[in-house]
Amino acid sequence: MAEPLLSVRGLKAGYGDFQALFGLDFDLGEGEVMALIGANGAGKSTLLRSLTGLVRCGRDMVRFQGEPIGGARPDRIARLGIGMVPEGRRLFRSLTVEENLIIGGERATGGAWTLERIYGLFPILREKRKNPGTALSGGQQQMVAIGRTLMSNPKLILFDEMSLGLAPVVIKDIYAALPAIIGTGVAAILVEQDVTRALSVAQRFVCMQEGKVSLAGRPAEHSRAAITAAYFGVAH
Amino acid sequence: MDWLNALLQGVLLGGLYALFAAGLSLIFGVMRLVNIAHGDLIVAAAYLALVVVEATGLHPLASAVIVVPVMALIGYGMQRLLLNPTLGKDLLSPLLVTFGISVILQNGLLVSFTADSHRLAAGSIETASIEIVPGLAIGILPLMMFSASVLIIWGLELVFYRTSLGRAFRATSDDAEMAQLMMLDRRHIFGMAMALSAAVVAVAGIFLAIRTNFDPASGPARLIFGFEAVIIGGLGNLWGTLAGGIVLGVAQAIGAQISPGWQILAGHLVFFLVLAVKPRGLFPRMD
Amino acid sequence: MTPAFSIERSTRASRLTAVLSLGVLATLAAAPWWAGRADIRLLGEVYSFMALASLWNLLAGYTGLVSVGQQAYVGFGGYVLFALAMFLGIHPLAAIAIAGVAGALIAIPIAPLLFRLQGAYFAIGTWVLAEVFRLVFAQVSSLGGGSGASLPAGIVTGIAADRALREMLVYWTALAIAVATLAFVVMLLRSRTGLALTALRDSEIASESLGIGIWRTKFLVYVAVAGFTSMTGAFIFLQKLRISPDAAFSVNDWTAYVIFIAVIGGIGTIEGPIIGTILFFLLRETLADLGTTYLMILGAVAILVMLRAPKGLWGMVVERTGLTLVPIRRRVTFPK
Repeated sequence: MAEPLLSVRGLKAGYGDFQALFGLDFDLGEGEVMALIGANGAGKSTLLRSLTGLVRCGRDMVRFQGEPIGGARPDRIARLGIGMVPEGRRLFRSLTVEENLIIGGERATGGAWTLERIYGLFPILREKRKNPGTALSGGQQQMVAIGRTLMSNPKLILFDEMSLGLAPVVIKDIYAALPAIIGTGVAAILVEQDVTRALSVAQRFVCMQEGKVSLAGRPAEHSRAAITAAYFGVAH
Repeated sequence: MDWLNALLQGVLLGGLYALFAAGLSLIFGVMRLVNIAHGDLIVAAAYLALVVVEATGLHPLASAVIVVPVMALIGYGMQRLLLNPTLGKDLLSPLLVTFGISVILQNGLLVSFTADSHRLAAGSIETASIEIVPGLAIGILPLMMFSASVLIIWGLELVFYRTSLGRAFRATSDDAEMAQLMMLDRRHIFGMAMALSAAVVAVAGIFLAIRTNFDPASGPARLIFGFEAVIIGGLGNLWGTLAGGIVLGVAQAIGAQISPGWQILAGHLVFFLVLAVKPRGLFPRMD
Repeated sequence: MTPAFSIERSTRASRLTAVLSLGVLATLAAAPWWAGRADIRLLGEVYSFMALASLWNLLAGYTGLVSVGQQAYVGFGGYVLFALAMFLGIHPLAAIAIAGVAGALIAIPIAPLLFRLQGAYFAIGTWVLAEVFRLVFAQVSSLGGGSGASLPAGIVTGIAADRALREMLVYWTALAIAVATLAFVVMLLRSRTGLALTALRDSEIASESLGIGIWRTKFLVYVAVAGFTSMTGAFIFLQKLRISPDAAFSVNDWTAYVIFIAVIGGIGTIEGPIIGTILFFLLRETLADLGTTYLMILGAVAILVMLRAPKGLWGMVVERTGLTLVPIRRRVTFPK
């Protein structure tokens, strides 16, 4: 079997004295979309932060394309091809929309995603390109955040709470763009409150509970009740 | 006419103060660091210019071709070796490290050059002046320095708002964590910010050396003048800083007209007045 | 029923410290009978620096107000003492107490102004303030203007006619100031305000949500520290018998050394400034002949400590042993 794109083994991490992850294992293949679900405080955000290097962890706990990257500097991990669309968008407020997009890509090696292609995917951004990023609506800001990450042409994108705080109609628009993004062969990990929506676009899922994997597999393999039990920690 | 002349001199002096301030403001903007050694770096640059001029016979203004890159390198090294390890922890550590650097620089200069004051001779250009109206003349040299300051501030604005490095500075300042996810190595970005600041410091040092006598203890006053210009002008706005420098220069010139002992004091009092009346400075950046 | 745990503040080490410090205090108070004149003078200086360093530490290490301008209050206190003694004929020892009050009073309008400066810019603001004080006192010709003044012999002998008695009185004053300052710092940190300060240091947002008036707390600490610093300054210049603007408002003497002491001893600990002061004087007595080089060594050591052991010498001791000599916080203990 070919080497997985991302391989997580015995991942433990936390903040200072507080441990949030207690030995996580999972793999993700090239171009695969994985839903990461779990209740608040299950450790989803800490997992994403460990994968991007924002939280320290042991070197061999995370491998990307076979290379150990655990605990590497965030900018180096980004260079290797892991991008993140963070919770709350976090656009650079003193940069315009276009500058936000450019800064996402200007240190990357290049690839399919260009400024033109982002504007093709989200035409409204072309109109607003001279505006400060933070002057946009929540949905438009989310488009900029997605575009900014795409500009680096990552091999793996981590989407953290993409629909948090957005109106349902806006969420629909954002999700409508997802096939065009995933269609280019990029792998993705989707953290989402709306479990049904996340499972509908994912080929695989990992459910977390108290810093551990409580259930994993393909959405079709498990009953809704089993997933709910893994989510809330109710006994089978 | 004396008063008008003093006012004019004050405005021109303000350009130099803005130059003291620009480097300080730049690194505060990028990494929220206040460099207590800023003034001592200006004085160190003045001494470096002195050494270069004595060794090569270059004109003081031409010594910039050596002083500017050397200071930029020193700034980059200082940031990466001494300051980066302290950043992100708290306010205290970086501040105290720059305080230590200040003590070392001042006493290092004292050991190397004694406490005697020096000045760089710029030749005939020093006395040349244009008479605008009878009795009111502008010195060529102060005018050149003022113009250079305006040019440098304009250049810094260009770097900040029109270049990739400037985008990286602003992004890091907005959200250092996200900037790292955009492949920005903040150790390098901070190093570049300090290098740019030190390059401006180098020019300020050369101008200082031509304009006045300097000695190893001249640094703190330059830090304070630069700081006052930043606060008077308003944080985060380089053109405001230029205005702040001019306000400070004029205040000092007017103070000096009243009594020589009042020159510096008048500047400080205007600073506190602005702080009391407009705590965000005269021209705060519109957010 | 035995309780599952108990809450206590004192530890065995801290009770031992209390007994020991009483002994040390008694020995130091008796110094005029066992130490030479030069040693008495040196001890007076040691006490002043201990007080200044503890006060700076309270500001920077606990309150987050990093000042590089405390020389403003040192010099102010000194000048107030000279003015009171020379113009109003007030007894110098009484003038020290008045100088403390005057320092606190003048800090009241200054604090709100300086607090407008953001973060680290506050530090330079305090320096500007000290410069303003220096330039203003240099304009006062009745106090000698820029060249300064000496305390007239009549005032000095007015403290006490007998020289030995005078030197004893001055010495005890220094000891009293240091003890009072340390007691103030310890008591403040043990009070509600002190707990608020620790919360404030650990997280500004957390303490804000606890409803602690950050601004008011900072204000009170700043004003009180200004008062004690002025008092110490008044003593320093009583011992020197001479004052000038450059000496009174010297950033090197009253801030650089003090910061060095707090940094090597351990910022944010009670014990740090005390240990730092002892180290500082040991270094000074052995290396001062090096002159300027000595100052460069101090700067380099301070940077090294900030980079390698930011909690200073005392912080390292605490980390290794868990020792607490002056307990501030209460700790929960479980019976074995």
